[in-house]
Amino acid sequence: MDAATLVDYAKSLDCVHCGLCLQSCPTYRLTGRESSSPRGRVHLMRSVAEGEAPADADFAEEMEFCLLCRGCESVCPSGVQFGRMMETTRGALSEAVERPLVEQLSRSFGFATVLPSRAWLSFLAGLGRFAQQLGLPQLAGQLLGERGAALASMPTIPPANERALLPEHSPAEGPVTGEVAVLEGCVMPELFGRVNRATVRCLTAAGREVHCSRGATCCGSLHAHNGELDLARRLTRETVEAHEALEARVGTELPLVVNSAGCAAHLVAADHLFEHDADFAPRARAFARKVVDFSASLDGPALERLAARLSGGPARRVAWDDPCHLCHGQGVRDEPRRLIDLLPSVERVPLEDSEACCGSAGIYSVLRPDTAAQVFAPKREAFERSGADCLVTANPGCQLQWDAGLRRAGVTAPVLHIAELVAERLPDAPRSDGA
Amino acid sequence: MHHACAAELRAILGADGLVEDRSRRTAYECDGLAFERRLPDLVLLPRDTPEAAACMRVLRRHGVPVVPRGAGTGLTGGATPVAGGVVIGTARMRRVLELNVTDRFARVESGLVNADLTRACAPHGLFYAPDPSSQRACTIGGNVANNAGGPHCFRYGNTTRHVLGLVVVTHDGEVLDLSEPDLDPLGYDLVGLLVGSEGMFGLVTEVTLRLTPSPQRVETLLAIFPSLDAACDAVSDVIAQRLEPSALEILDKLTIEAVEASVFAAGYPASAEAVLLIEVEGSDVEVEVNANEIEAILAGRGALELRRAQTEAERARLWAARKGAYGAMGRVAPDLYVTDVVVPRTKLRDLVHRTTEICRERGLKIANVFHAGDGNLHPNISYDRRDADELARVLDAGTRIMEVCIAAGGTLSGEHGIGLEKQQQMRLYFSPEDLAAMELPRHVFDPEGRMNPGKTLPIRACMETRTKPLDEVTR
Amino acid sequence: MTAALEALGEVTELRGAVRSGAALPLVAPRDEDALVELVRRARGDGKRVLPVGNGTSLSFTNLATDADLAVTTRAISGIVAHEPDDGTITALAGTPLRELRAKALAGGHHLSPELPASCDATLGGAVAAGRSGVDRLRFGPMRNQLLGTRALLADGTITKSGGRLVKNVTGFDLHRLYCGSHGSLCILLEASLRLYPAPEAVRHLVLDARDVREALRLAHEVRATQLAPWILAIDADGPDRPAHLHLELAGREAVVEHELSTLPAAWRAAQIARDDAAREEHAHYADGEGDARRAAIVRVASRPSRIDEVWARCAALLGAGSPLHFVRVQPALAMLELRLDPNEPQRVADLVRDLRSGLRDLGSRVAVGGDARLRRLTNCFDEVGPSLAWMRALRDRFDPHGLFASGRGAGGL
Repeated sequence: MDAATLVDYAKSLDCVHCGLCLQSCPTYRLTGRESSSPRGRVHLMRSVAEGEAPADADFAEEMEFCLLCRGCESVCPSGVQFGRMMETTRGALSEAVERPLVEQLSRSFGFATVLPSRAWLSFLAGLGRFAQQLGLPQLAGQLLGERGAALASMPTIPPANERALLPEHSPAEGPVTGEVAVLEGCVMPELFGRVNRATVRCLTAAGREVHCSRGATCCGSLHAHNGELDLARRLTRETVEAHEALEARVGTELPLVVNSAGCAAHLVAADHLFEHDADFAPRARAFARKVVDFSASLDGPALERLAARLSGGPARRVAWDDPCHLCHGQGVRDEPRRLIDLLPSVERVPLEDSEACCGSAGIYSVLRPDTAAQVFAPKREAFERSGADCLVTANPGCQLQWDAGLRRAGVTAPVLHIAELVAERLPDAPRSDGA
Repeated sequence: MHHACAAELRAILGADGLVEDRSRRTAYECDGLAFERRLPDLVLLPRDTPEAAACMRVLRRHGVPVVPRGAGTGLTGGATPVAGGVVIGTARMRRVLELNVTDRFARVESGLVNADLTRACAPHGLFYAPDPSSQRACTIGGNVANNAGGPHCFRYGNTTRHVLGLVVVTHDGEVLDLSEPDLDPLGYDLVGLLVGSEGMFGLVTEVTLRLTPSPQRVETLLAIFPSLDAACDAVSDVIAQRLEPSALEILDKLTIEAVEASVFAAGYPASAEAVLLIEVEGSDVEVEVNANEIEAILAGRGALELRRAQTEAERARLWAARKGAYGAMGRVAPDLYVTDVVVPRTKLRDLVHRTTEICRERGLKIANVFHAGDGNLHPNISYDRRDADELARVLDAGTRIMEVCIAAGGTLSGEHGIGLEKQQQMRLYFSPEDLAAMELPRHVFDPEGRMNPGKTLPIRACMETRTKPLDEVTR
Repeated sequence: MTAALEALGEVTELRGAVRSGAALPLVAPRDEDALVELVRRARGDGKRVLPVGNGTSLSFTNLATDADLAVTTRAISGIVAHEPDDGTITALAGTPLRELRAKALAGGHHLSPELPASCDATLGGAVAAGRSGVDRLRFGPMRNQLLGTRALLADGTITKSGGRLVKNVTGFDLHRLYCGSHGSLCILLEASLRLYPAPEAVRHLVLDARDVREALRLAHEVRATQLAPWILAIDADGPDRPAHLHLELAGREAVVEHELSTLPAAWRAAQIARDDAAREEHAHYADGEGDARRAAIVRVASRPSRIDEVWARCAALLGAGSPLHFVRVQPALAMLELRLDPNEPQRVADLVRDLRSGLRDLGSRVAVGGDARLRRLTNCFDEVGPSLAWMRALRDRFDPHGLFASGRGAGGL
């Protein structure tokens, strides 16, 4: 491996080795191993770059063991850009590391074929739904043992009517407070169509004219995280172009409201992928500035309008769990709390370590289910101590992780996206948990 | 590492309790003093005292040097395995074993993070007083090894005043249980001797700590000064007036710029030449009486502005910024050399001045952020360890600062310890006889010279395992 | 030999310090050089030396196994450095604590440990004995005040540990080891102490209670408040006798006045002495504290949560007609001091034996002070346990030839 391209050496020099990041790191807390801590990983990277340590399989494993939650960035006084360093290193590693053929093929199929394609996503969702109806995953779980268990614990795929895509235009209810676009996402419509619809419902109730582009599918966030940088660039570029096209069609600049924290954190920094592409970089930068998280997009008159429309809804004691890529990735902390505290018949209770990773981490929970479950365990305990009867978050991966984790432990509390919690308090809304 | 030895250790700890491969061991080659590094042959991560003791017995049989390590946040190279051998990390030993609210003590494993102890006892109206700036990461065991301090040690004293008992695994694997929180030691004060012994007298695995009742009210004051000199004078005045705040900290301009650019920005005024951060605590009346008198002194010394933190959140931000100052200096240069010297509090102004000059004379960038109330200076020198010439100038400045402070009646370290960093300068402060006396307990607790070898006591010719003294590193 | 000794300093006699009962020549070297010379000669002659200060703590230690001569540092006296604006004081070992205390007070500081005004303890002796004062509740034990020492080791070298500054972690804390080592490791030459602001105002309160049990209940109420009293102690003449609960608050005038107003309701019935009157009450309270030359003293230390049970068992063991004169309980420190008839050594020794066995399950410590008759009958300290081997090894390393007389401390150290 080429040390020069493997590590963003200049960024590694930002670390003065103070160690304040250690406790923020889920993998360090899990293992007690400093090589699995942010400081340790940065030190490893720097050592590799300086030729003092080998860029071997152990190095690669330690880099991939990272959840990329970026919790360390929120406590780093020196401003080390850990997430970007890690994406660079993973990018170089994914080119260099020899993976077993099966893994190579499945990665390539997943990243290059399925995620970018609405057709593939819909097809597989339909297939999965069919298989789940037949009870095949449980069967696989029994037949295949550990590998099959992952299949058995897969999220339930909703019926076809819930998987319908968003309309390209949803009009504001009452006077218009602004025009926005929403990001539909790749997996979102297949698994969380209801969240997308709740998002639009909230926005229109807040007086937003909502547009939705069909021009792109996956934004490339998962790819960037997992070192598939070329694909990430392609997909991000498509997302930028689709948004530009939408703006051209509507005839005005549009903020892009994103209800998936992981995607938003990726897109608000989209320009970094194009640092060496002088032509596209300005377009990416302009685009990145328009990306806004769902809860952060609601302020001023829009928030007032929304508040005025809220009424009723099921009484809930909710615990808000900050998605890593919302609090660490975007620095959004107060807005979701502000929004929740507006809601009638909702009481928000504090959740200990709400900024710690739940273990979902994009597709990490699929690649390393055991680690993800261990990382999740203290989160569940904190939830149970909180006395809440409902967990609220704002990222599809976190929602799946929480849902599966609580079910496994026999906890029946619903896990909702913040948009769902709001939407169920709007006129004629169904209960979000279907109860 | 001998194959058989590693196998025995693996049998005790399980595969995940060892760090064996070359890449991962790299993370253990230094602590906060990053210019001196050496790879350990093996890293062990025991889960409790019996496991640690079993490992120590194996290591003794094989004659392997042992370097205890907490979170590796030390600043003197104390956890760096300069003589090779095995690093024993306590990161997986972090349980609170007993929390006794009535008798106000806690028994904890030594890998517990300092801040986690206060977090555990806060609901009972208690806290653990020593609060090193790294308290969110550093471990109780590391605090014990270095007799760590922190801003609030001005009122409460360093770690040693809070350690009531210890469990220590000795060099031969014996578990020496001194954990009972007795009022006075029975026989010699072994606990007092072990605190601050920098891992050279054994591996501390459990600690019994005194907990302090949380004050009824805490008030945080901020005074902005037109010069560092004026801030120092104000501190000397507060001490001379016999006033008793709980913390007295000074941050200079460069430090403020660095923290205000970081995630810990707290609203310290960027225009200030120096800021004095003061905490006053006690009952409402006590706080008011003290705060008013202190404010009068500050105004008398020409403070441009006086502020009080209005909310708990603001207070927390001011402190988080203060405690993140060291890390924030990473914005100035890749490395930071944090000197730790103490001077008489009557001479604060002159010595801060002098240390600053020493750095400037050598073309070094210095930031001052320190525990002024204790006379505990921390000239922070920014540098790049890849620049051998600059590193040499940094070390030279460090030595000169120590010389100047000792000549003024000061001492080498107020809270960081000696480690590798100040080993040779021990001779500036102690005579050969003093140092020989310190060898006496060392021979008792470490007759084979395997416990954190090559630290604290200066090297004498042809008896040390350490390969080269610090000043040679830079040649 | 006496003539040779007299050349080094005044020679008198020390009785009741060694097991054999022999009187020892007690030399007071006139200065440090004379002391070094004395120790050098003793080493050369194979003589064993018993270091003492003014002997005020000797009655709290066991009789030394054996010694050929005693040496006191009382003539090596004087304040070396007093830095009022830095809050530290350094003095030679023979300086009376009383003198240091006065000096500190003149600079606006309180010196801890505060021993009774009548006590002649020297600085070196108090450090070597690890002595606590009546201000322990507020300022902790001697070892917390000790910043550093200079000491003469058995090999004749003079060595420094720690320093004179309030914050210092340079080198190993040998001074912590010396503190409470009862002269078995070194002869202290000099010590530095940290000082505390002297209180501007003092309030000494006494609240009467039916008996110690009731007073304990009242004391626990105080401990549960935010107050940090200088004294919280119960005095009584016996288990079923009326008890007096002492509470002393000191500090800034406005602060202590306010603190008075926050006391639990029961304190409305208390007598309150202010300032000069309070200082008189204080002196009265302090007088006699720990004077084992006037009484046999048994000290029981436990944990605050167990003090009621400890007292209940003590009271039961004392029984009717016990030789108890007086009891003082400090609930927040979980310390209990029984002052008993010095003329009943056997009964006191029996009581100590019963207390040691009867309180063992409460993890209590029982220490004894008294005259030589009593100390021949009982060990002044509890058994040390497995850590004794390490202490012995330390002693052997510091004093390989047994120059300094041993046996006074716990475990025969």
